[in-house]
Amino acid sequence: MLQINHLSKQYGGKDRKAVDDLTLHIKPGEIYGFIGHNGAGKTTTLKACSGILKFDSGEILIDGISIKDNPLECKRRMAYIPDNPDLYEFLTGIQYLNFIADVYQVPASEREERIAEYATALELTDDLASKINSYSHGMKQKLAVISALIHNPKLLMMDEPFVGLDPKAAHTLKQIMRQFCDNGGAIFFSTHVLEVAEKLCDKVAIIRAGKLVIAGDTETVRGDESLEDVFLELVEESHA
Amino acid sequence: MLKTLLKIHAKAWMESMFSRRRGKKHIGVGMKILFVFLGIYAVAAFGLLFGMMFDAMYEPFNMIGMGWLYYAMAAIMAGMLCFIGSVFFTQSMIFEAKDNELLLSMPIRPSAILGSRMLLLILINYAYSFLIMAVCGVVRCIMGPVTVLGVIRYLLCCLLLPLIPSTLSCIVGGLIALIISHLRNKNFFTMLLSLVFLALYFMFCFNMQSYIERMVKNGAAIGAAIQKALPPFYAMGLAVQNGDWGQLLIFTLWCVLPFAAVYALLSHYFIRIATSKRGLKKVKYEAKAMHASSAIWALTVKDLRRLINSSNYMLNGCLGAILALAIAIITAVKGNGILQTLADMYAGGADVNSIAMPFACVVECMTMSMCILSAPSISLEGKNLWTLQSAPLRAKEVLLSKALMHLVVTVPASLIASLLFSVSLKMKGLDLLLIFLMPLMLSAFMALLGVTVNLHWPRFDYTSETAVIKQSASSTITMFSGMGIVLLPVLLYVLLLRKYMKVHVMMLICAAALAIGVFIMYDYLAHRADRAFAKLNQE
Repeated sequence: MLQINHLSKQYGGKDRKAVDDLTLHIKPGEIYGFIGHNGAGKTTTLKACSGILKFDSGEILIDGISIKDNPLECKRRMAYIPDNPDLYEFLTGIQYLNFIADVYQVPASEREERIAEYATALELTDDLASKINSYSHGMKQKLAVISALIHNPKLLMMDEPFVGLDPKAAHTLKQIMRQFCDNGGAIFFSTHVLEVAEKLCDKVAIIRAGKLVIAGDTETVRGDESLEDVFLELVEESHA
Repeated sequence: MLKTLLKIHAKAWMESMFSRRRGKKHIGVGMKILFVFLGIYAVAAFGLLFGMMFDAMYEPFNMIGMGWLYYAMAAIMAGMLCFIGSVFFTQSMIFEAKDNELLLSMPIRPSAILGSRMLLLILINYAYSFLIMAVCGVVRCIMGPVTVLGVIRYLLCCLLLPLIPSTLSCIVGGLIALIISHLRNKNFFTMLLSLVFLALYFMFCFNMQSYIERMVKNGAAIGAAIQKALPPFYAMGLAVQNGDWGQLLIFTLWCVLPFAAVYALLSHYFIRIATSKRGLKKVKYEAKAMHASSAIWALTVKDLRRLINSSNYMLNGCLGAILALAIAIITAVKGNGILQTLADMYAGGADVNSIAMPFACVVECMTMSMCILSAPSISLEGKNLWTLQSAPLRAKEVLLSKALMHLVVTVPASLIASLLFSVSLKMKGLDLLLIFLMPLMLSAFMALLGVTVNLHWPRFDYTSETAVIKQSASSTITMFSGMGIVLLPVLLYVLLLRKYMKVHVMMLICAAALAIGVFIMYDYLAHRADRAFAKLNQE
């Protein structure tokens, strides 16, 4: 579903590459966790995959289509949620969802159905008539999740999706993620919460200073240790 | 502590007013020269306007033995300018500042936070006050000899004067914040208030000549009224004119005591003011049938919603349309007197009756060129740009939707204004066609020009929308380009071409030139702007 081949990206004025020769493959049905410390290159990778950020070299294929050659077709098949859900604060929740549905050309009946389903699951229905500027961080995150699912994408990319969510909403989001992948979708998300990655992800990749340190099945990567121990060891090793 | 706080507030204010975007691209030399030129032009225009006024006032007031009225009038005008310029700043800087809660959580006395903000307010008012008081002083020096003590007394008064409008701004800003906290549609209220202030300002400008004449004729009566109703300004006038140190002390007390009282009062209630939540009422959602629309219309509606939710954007972006409508309505109701006033002010007193259509057309085009709705529209995406860049949208759809938003507002305003002009000035035939065609072509041109300019001079690192709407390079370039596009053909025709062609021919040529411009920009935005759009906010 998502193939990242030898991706490299360097920002102007910086000495080192933000992402350096990164290769990852995410298959349909997989929840793929992307782990790394602050500034490791997770957000840059996710932004490049979502078509927001241009990259210097390498290739990104979504459902077999190159994001460089056919960005619109790729974007129709995926959804992206950034780490900080900066949404249009002057719109109400329902206006925002309707706007996103129009942008993705979702038929009226389908958008009504999906909004009802996900807003109920995430307990946001009552607040949909309020302006987004009255929302808490967690409510914005929930709205961003609903807007990402409204066009039924094949690939979901999320940057730190659990930040700001209350325990119940975080639990619901995990269920939605699992159900999404069980229905054939793929999820690629970054996280700092290693316990979540350990329990939820089918596969994980650890990145440090833009370079891939390790990637594979969660079970294989962690072995007999916790993912936290493995992460700390690997990061220390690559640092040394 | 006060110094540190003042530094932080001043930095934040400067950032919102003058900061330029980070990154590799800086504003070029040409742009810098343009900005310097515009700055000099604005100061010179102000100086000339007030200089002529003070020049007309000084002698007559002195002749009737009321020389103090000269200084009192200057102080009143400076006070008004400070008040209009700072009242909304007071509201956002003192009562609704975003960092109030952060600063209150630190070991800083609330009175120090408030004091530093009020001090910045006074400094800003010094800048406004300087524009008028400096001209007043210069004209006085030209008119006759001055003494060192006289100059010192005048400078002391100039130092104290901004305390009066600062006190008033704090009171009125506080009242506005209080009223807004009880309203749902705070943007509409803020815009309405801003329009009232602007209307007062324009009324003052339109009638300035008659005010001066009346003041000169009835100086004694006006002086008596000021003495009774505005005693601080009377005291200030006497202190400077007669060298009366007692009156200077009275003026000082008038400036300092109310300011201190307001400071003490606000200090007492500052925590309550700073921590109260405003205008964020929650509404319970009830599901209704939803309707699908095209992506471009969804983008347009989204931008229109941004517009109606921002009083700043509405006021600055739509001011031209509001002015065009106001002038057309006044013309329809009261005849072409307002057009004649404009001709007296800007067209050397030309007789409007003989040039009704072209003059009305120029007035409408000139005001419509001040509509710069599309010029900040890309920058205003700010942190939300990711939504558009990650969605399956072509650059064409995003960019043209912004031009469409501009047209949705300006075209109806232009049609109504043209209709009112055509009926009230009894236009027929080609006149009728041109009064509708020219403003419409100009609106289309301005809509596309704003988007094109903003695409190449975007700014995403702002902390306040005001910085983008009012002071950004794209807004400035678009507005002055629009004015130039209207004024250049007018000057060209009046100075050179009037002997060779009829005004209708000239206007048709201008319409054709605008149509070519519209076509070129449309073609660029629709077919060749993908790369520029993809490059936005890449660092």
